[in-house]
Amino acid sequence: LLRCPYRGHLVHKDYTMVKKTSDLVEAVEASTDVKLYELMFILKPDMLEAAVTKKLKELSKFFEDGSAKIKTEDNWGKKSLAYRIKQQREGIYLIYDFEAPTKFVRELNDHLRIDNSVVRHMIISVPADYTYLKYVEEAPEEKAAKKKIIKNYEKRKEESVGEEAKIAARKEPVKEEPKTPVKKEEVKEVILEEKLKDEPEKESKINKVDLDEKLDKLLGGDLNI
Amino acid sequence: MAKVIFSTNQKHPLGKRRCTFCTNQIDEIDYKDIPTLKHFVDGFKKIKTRYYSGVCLNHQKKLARAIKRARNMALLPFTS
Repeated sequence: LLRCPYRGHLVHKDYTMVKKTSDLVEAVEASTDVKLYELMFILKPDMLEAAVTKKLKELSKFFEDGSAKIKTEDNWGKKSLAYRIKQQREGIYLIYDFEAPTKFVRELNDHLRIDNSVVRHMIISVPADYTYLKYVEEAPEEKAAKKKIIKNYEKRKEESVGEEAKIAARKEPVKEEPKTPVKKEEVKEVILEEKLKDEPEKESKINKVDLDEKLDKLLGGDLNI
Repeated sequence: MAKVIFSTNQKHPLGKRRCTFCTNQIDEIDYKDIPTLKHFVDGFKKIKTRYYSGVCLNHQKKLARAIKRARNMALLPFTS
């Protein structure tokens, strides 16, 4: 089998299409192309440290047998899962970056699928210029700052509550005091109203009397003329 | 890893929106980068559409793939 010079897919020597999948698989497995891959898998959380190290040693041996080069290793430690997998709420996260031929990847996939201590695994192909980076959820300083803000907020709340209590304490006697004067004022107002009621009537009466006199005068004057 | 600056696309009109990955010059989006992925996920943990996130089409496809990979490895929940 050859690679087509125009499109890159696999063709026979006389440039006819490959129709059997088994031929393709053989060709892929026979190729010695090396690619970069990343493996991430989750171990069960109830495994002891000794058991984990033993498992990793076995894995590294497996890598050596398959003529794969391990570039970077990382252990995230125990982490809580976003959802339950196989009745597990936690898992030990492990990550490997390695260079390997395509044939080895299939073997690895089978090897991990059969393993009982592996909760879940994933192998992905990665671009050639890939460099492993570790991402941090949140810097500890920022978290501390956030906590401080919250603490301050709580403090302020407490202070405000205290102030409110103080204000209430102040208000209580103040409230009691105006009660009696309010009553007095009310009484005064009532009296004033009564007075006011009396006064305008008198005034109106006076006015009426005055007006009558004036009118009489005017009318009398007119009549006299 | 440099800090990712998230633009507030919601306040701008449609013409003036800028992709956060284009402005920070991030070409490949990693599925392990959960603090950035969390910004592009809904309250129900669904992937935000381009209309709300303001990400360009080229990066949105990569983002979706990264989020789905993270979900598969229980780094992000499927739903909540």
